[in-house]
Amino acid sequence: MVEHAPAEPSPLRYLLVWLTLVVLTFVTWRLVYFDRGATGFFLGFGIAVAKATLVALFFMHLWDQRGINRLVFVVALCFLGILIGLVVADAGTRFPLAILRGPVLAVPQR
Amino acid sequence: MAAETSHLAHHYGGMAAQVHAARLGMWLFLGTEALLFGVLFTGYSFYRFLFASSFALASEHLDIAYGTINTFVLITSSFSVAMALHYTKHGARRRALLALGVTLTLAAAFLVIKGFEWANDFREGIFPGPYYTGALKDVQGAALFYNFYFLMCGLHGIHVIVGIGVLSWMTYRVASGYYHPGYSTPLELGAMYWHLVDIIWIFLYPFLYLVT
Repeated sequence: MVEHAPAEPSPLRYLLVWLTLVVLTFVTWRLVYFDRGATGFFLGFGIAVAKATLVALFFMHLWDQRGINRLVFVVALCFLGILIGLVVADAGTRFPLAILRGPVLAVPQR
Repeated sequence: MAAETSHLAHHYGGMAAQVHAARLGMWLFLGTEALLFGVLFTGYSFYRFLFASSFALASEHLDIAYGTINTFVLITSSFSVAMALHYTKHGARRRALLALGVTLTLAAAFLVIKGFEWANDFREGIFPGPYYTGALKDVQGAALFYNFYFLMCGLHGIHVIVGIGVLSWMTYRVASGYYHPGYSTPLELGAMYWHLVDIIWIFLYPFLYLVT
């Protein structure tokens, strides 16, 4: 199997991606900074995922490359998702007193 | 093409296979980089979950202007390094050098802005670990947020410095005519490293400056 050299994308594509990144950064700054609600986190995180995907697909040329290269990075991110997901799930399902939250020492002094 | 075959290692069947292997190796390395930062993001997520309100409070004491400007700086430098590779592949060496110059200038600007930001933080008593003497001294978990702030920005800053080194080397090689339309793989891999540095900052920006 020989990989055919992909056609080099036009500079216009890079310019459009950059403009989208600028707009998304501006949106993050305006929306999330002034909306300090629960939606703020998901908005900020979602926009960050969108921006990172744009950079990986077009600036890093994953869009033009074969499956295996996409797979390597996506698998790394999946394992990261499992790690973070399970760690947060652990914290969320603990017996409340087992979590050190404040200046309360649960250990009685003898 | 003689120029193309001179860079071909003997154990590859052809240039396309060698380029593909180089890209795959780079993606593997970038995967490990993602995991390196990933453990910091994991620790951050754990403590943000436990100290949600403290993290939000601590985040408000950071100046968002620095973070926002630096985001624009890094995404623009990502764009310019993509253009540098594009121009190299089209044999426009002077334009490629200009684009690399813009990238290196923006990378240095990022570090300078970061320096001003940290100087500002230090004046407010925002230091890592037990040295924190800021306004949130008695708020449980606030100092923890600043630990992650300094650790993540510090590790990212080291990557920016390494990226400046790699891209300076690439600039020298482009200037000396080492890369041409038939061969520019190291420049492509160096640019990928820089894009990863950009991606990590894209996530650090909302996680450090926009905690709600």
